Amino acid sequence: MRKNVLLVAGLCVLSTSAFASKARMIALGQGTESRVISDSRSVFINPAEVNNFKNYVVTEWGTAANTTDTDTNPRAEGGFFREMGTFSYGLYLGNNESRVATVGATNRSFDAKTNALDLFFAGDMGLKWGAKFHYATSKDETATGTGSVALTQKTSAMGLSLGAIHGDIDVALNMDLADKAEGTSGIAGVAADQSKLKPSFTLETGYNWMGNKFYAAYQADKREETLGTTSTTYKQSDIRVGWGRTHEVNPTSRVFTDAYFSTGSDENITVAGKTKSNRLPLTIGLETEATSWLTLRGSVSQNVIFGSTKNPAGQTASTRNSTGVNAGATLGFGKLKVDGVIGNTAGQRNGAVNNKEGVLTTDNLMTRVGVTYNF
Amino acid sequence: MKKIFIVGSALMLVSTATFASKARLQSLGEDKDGSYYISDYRNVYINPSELNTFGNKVFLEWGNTGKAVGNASLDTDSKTKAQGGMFYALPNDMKAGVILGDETDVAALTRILSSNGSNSFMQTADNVIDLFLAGKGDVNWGANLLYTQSESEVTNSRYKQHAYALRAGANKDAWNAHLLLALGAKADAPDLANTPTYKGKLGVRVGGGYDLDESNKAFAMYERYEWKQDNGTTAERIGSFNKWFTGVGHTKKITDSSTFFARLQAEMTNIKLETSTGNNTEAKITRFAVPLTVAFEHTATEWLVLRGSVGQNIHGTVEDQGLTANFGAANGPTIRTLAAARYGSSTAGNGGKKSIVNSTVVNAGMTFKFGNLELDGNIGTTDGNRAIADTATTEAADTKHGVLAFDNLMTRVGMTYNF
Repeated sequence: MRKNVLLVAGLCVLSTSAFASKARMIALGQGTESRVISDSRSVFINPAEVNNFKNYVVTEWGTAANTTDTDTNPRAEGGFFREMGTFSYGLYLGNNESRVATVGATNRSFDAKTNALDLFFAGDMGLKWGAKFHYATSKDETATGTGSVALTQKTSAMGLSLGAIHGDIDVALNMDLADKAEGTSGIAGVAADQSKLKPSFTLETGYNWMGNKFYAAYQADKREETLGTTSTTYKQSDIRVGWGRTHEVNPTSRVFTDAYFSTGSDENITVAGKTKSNRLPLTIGLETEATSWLTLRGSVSQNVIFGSTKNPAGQTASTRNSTGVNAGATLGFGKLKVDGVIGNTAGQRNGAVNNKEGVLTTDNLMTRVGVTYNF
Repeated sequence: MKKIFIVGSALMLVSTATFASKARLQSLGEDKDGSYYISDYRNVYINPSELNTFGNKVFLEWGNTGKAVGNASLDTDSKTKAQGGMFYALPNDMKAGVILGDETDVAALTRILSSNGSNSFMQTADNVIDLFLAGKGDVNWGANLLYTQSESEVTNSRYKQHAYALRAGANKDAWNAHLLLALGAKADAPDLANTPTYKGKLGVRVGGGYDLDESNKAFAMYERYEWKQDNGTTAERIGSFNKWFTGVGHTKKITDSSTFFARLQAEMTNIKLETSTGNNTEAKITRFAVPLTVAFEHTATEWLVLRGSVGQNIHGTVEDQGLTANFGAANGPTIRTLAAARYGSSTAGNGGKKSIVNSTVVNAGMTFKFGNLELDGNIGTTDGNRAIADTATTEAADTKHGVLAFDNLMTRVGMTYNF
């Protein structure tokens, strides 16, 4: 009898559905979510994707600070997603992203959104559908304003997202139903100050065709800020049309290419000043399972042809230094994956160390770490 | 019969033809923008027909915006510029390529030289795009188009810059030849002190090589670039950059896993800046050198390749004049420091002729190989001291002091995936 002995040195083919972190998306030049690369972060663009990405727990390392989430100061967040028959559900904590201002003026600050909760529910009945409900609220009665007078600061936010995937077509609507901050603290703080997002939305659709993904997205929001007796209205919009392609070189390696054209405006309606911008970034990325326990990835991205901003005075300026290279790694331990961005630490350890200077460091091995456990 | 299938952990020996990065070339004592005798993807910038040599690949050079010099920036070993691209095979034995962000130092230095204002410098080439096309035939050919353009109309920050260039190359059997035409370059910064302007004239680089035998290759190159610059308070000036070199490169495969390299060449660089009405205030640098470089590359394990080089001038002189007279206290020190670092000219005094000192350079590097993915970098480029902070002109932690650091494991990291 022939005996075929297959010796496998621990190779484990990972499907892309096992990847689920901001670090992976950033390393592939996609921001924190992608419209063209399959990743569980897509649930934040289209909740119907929960049907495709489920049965895992994810944590994103960072601080509990509630302001912007950056590579050097990431926000702590995480959650889990689980299937239940033909349905799936999920709970995500800490997604405190907000378009409401936190700084009203000098010495006059709003509280930032905090302790956000996202509830997901999705189903697959031939047509995959999904919904996400977003909620956050806080109150601080110990704040002080002008003259150290006690005042109450509040924040509240509510959002609803709906999505569907049918065959090669997908569509999603993300709505901010309410996002408000009341009362500013600081030596110039005022209880009546308010920063409020009017109902805002992002509507998008995508189509898969012969291995290519085409998509279009339209985002519009309006914000009102009241400081004392002065009210200012801001309006922001963005249209994006894009394409992406994933070339599966083999089951363990892939090359990504994508490009999109984006044109947007940011307008202060009250003072009548509009900033317009456009860009067309081309991104080339790679991802490969270097060993059974290590996946490496990287990307280069740069504006081509379009990439400029026009200020309210009508003056145009090209976007400087748009070339960006990112790299990342995943350490795999069976069903547990530790993702991170690499190459983000400078050569010196004195002063600003969080710089990309082409250095592979082994003390700050990875930044923006995310840990995912698939069950 | 027993059949034993062994599936390894995807590590395998890879031929040197897949190596591709600035760090590799530097470790072997070559210019990071290409070698005239060692095969590397960077050579497409010398001869685009070399694209036919390489298979499909995606390559990245880690970094950010480089070392800032006013609005200008340079790609330095300790502050690298980000760039990357892809080569892809097309039907009919053709290849295409795109590289984003490759901003050469020679172009940057000429614009810095033109910015003789109040310690600020014009915008260097930014958001550069290189497109490549190559094909095989009786004669293998290749072409590359370079394009960069950016501007700002914002009050107090106005500038404009653009540049276009065309490279073409061919190779057949033992010979190869290449041509570069710098078709036009312009830059201005009306809001900088002395409102500097820079206008490049037609520039050219021609060169070629010939395989003398399977181990030895002869090569030669000549390039000339001219430009006009105007700094507002001085008469319009004509700048010129001339360089030629000729030499021989030797490649010897010692074993299946080790290769020895050596290069001997003679080179002359002549940089001149003169007024359009006469040369009473001429500034110039003339540099002649005969560098000898010896290098090796060794596949230490199936996942690790180590390499290193030592180089030194057998003969080297540099003569400069008029640097102090032409570059004053404002921008002068920075320009003279940059020129001294690159060409060995003087940083103070009235100039003259001298030997190029401290020309002995040792470089080292390594590659981690993970199947079709390679991670290259320089090693030994981190000082023992981590506490010294950056200055305007140096990054003190990132210097060669004979240290093999394990925290800053590699610098100038390049990542290449072959598919």
